[in-house]
Amino acid sequence: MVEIRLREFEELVLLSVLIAGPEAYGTSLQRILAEEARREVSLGAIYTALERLARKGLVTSELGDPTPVRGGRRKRHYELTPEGIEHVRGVRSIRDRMWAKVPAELLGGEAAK
Amino acid sequence: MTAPPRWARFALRRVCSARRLPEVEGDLQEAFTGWVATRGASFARRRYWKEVALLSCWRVLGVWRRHQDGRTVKRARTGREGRGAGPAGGSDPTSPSRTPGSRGQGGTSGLLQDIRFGLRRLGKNPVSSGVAILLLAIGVGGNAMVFTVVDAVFVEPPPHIRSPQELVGLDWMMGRNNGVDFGYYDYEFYRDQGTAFADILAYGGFPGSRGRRTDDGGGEVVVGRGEDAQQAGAWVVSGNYFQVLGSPMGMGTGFSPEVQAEAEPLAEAVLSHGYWQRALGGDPSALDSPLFLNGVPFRVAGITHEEFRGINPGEPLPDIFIPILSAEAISMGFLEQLRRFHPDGSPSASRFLRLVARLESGIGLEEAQAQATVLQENWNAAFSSWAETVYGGSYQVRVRSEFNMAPFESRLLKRQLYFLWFVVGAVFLIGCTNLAILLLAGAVAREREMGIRSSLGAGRRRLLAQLVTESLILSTLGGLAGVGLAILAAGATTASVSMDFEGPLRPDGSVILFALLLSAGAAVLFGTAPAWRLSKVDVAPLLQRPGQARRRALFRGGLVVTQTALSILLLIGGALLARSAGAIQRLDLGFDPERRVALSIQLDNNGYEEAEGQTFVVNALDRLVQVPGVRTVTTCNRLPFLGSNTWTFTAPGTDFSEQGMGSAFNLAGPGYFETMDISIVAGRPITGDDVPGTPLVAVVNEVFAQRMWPGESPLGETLDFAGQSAEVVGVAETAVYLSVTQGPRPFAYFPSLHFYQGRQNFIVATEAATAGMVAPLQAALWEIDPNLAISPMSLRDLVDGQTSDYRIWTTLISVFASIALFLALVGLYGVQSSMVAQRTREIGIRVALGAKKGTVLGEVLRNGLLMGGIGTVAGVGAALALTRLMRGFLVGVAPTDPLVFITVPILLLMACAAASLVPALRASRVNPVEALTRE
Repeated sequence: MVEIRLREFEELVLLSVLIAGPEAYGTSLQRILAEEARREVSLGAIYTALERLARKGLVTSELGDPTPVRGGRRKRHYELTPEGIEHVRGVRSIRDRMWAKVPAELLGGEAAK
Repeated sequence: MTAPPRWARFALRRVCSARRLPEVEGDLQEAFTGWVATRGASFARRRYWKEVALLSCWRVLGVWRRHQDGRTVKRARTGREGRGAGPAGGSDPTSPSRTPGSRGQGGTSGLLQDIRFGLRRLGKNPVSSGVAILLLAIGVGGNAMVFTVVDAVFVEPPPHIRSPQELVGLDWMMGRNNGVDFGYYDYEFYRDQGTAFADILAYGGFPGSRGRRTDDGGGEVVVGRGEDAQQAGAWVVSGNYFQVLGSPMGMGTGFSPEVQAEAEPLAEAVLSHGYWQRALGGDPSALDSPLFLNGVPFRVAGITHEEFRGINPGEPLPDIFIPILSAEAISMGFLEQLRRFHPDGSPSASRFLRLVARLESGIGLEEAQAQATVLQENWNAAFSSWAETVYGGSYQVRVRSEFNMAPFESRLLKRQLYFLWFVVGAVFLIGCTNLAILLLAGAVAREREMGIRSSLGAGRRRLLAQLVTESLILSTLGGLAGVGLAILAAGATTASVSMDFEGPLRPDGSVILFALLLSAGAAVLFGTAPAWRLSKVDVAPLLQRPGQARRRALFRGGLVVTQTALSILLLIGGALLARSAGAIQRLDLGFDPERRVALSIQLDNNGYEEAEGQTFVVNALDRLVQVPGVRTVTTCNRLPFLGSNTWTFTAPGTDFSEQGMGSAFNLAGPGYFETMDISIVAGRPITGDDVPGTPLVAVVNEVFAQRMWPGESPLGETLDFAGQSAEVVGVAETAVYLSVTQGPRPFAYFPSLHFYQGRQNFIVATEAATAGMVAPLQAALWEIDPNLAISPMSLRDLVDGQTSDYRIWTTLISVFASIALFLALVGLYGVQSSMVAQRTREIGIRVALGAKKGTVLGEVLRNGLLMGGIGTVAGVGAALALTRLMRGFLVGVAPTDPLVFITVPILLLMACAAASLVPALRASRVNPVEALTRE
């Protein structure tokens, strides 16, 4: 697999797309990032990150149907490509492996949670 | 239901590409509805605005990136059906629409389009935009360089010092004399009696000169022992030096409390970070371990912080800081010297300390001055009427806020910086005028484009915005390139002013801001004028044929004249400096610096007493002359250019029998005149027989003889020196002693064997090049004393040191002047070509009516010479007025040197003619038929 390195924010956006499932589009991703990652980010930043991820082949998108809440405008739905999913898995396994090796006492109460 | 703000939506439509607009608007609409529900309408409206603004920022970034990616970005779009596949996927919300025409459909914003269009235009004319950017970069870069120094020295407080605004410097005035150097007794007095100052510190070179940058190679201590012994620059500082400055050590704790309180003279020293890195390789174990200073072990109590640059950013830090009271251990009699008083109680100790005080918080400069004045009266009372008898005036102390620099240093530096700034400013102006010419020429070429656009409905504001955007792009790129240049050339500025800085100064944020503002100013000033003119185009005639305006020609002519005048000014300045440098090279020094090695030894620092020292000198002279390749050897007290001794000489029976004549002198050993190749014009030189016990003799130079005994032979006359009478036995040729800019000065020599001095400079005349001679000469001296610290140097280097400033200045100004000339010629060429291009029709008609080629050619040439000529006259006039200010820099050249003032203008006019020649030839070859049928 070609080594792709992502910024932390891009990684969060990828995860948000997964969390949102079928309802992954600009506004919903913004909401998820705010709720889950405690990040207030602008739509512009999200679009830019998504575009970068698309160029790396990790997400794809398609236009959806118009909805009334959006003033009759279409949504662009995003989803992870197989490479995207593989990448997220890879990142997670590295993190898990490393977390497992962190001595619990160093983290004190945090680790116990 | 509340709707999103109308203007924000309007802005969004400008910013977002048409293709992505629906989905982006949809997302925003949905989010807006959510915000209204959860946070209220006003929050939602603000948030909506913020989103749009951020979207625009991201969009601009995207445009930039895209431009950098250039043509490699595929324009492939996935088409109407949704699935954007793979890396080239069309999921770019910020992707610019690359067809300018699409703006009409309300898709993209004007600004972004302007930027894109401007970038594309720049890309299409890489040469002219490159030149324009380069012009700006040179101008801005030069100014940023100078600004960096100004900022660091005059604006920014010195780093790693607590509340520098509370620090003040002290200087003194006595009658007409003034200075910044105080005695230790002054320091003690202010420290113990001063209520105005929270604290006061003193620092000075050890022993008596100022640190590493000494005028005579002294002020140094010997570090280490044996063959590893090296000289290092040292300061003596009051124990509270770092405490008062509020500069914690980088390593270690600094001087111990006993030393800080000046209670006990512990053998402790602090090393500067730079020296620790340089000489000790940054070894942490150096801390607290003993360091041998002049053979005495000192504890290394601390290493200064890396950022610490001392109080004066232009003054190099010493290698070693020694507590003033502890210096006795390495220099016997030092303390006694610090506190020496005349029998009447007035001080006679040497004054070599600078005082810096920290004011009590809340006390202003004026109040401190008032208290210092009261203090001074006490001082005058305490130390009798010493000042009046010695200096003919009472002693006054002034408190100044410029604590970091002595007034004369700051004046000198300011003068140099102004000069430098004038030069770079002129280059900048020339660059700007060229930019204007370039933009104007471009504007002429674009008249038709503008005409078409305005006839298609583009408003004047729209056209103006486009043009101003273009010059702003130019200026931003030029400004950034200029900052780059300034960073690259950081060393050059610091080298060109007479200050040593610890390492080159790096431009910081404020410098970058300055540079960008400067270039933006240039763009607005010089880019708007052409733009304004162009945006006013009259549509109808333009579409019929290329236009031509007399007034514009005049405007451009004015620009060329300005450029020529400025560049001739710089050229004349540069030529004068170059001639000075040449004059210095040819200067008859009166001695021969080639193949001469000087070995400088500070005998008292190496533990020698007078008797041993005398023996050493005699032995060393014997030993050195036996080294193979040595012709002659001598010793003296002072080397050329490295400081001098002065004395007021009286001679019975002359005009100077009472008042005396001030003159510099040197103590010269046997063989001095032979070794230095200074000829003796009458009498005899100083020899090895002139030793204590024989009558004291003197050799004077021609100027001295002429002044003291005009029209008489000085041989056999008596001169009073140091309480003794010396018989003048010889007259030496006048030489250059202290500085090449000094004219002929009186000078006297006395036998060095008569007056033992701790400082001995052995001079060796060698048969071959000096490079290979240093090691065997040092080895010869180490045979006598293996622990001796020796500083070797070649006399050639000393002379070159004198001229190096000139070389740097000459190079710098020549470079800038050549750039200026080149720019001026490019400007002239540009104006001439565009004028010819515009007048093709007219010329064609005249040729058709019978005008000769020569006439046409002559007219264009004449036009060029006229512009150049007016500029030359103006430039020469300005130069006549301004070069007088350069008098202090010039050697052997008058500020109105006729050669320079005649050649430079002639050369410039020739260059103007050459620059006009190509356009002129083009004009003369106009084919009337083609010219008339072309449009």
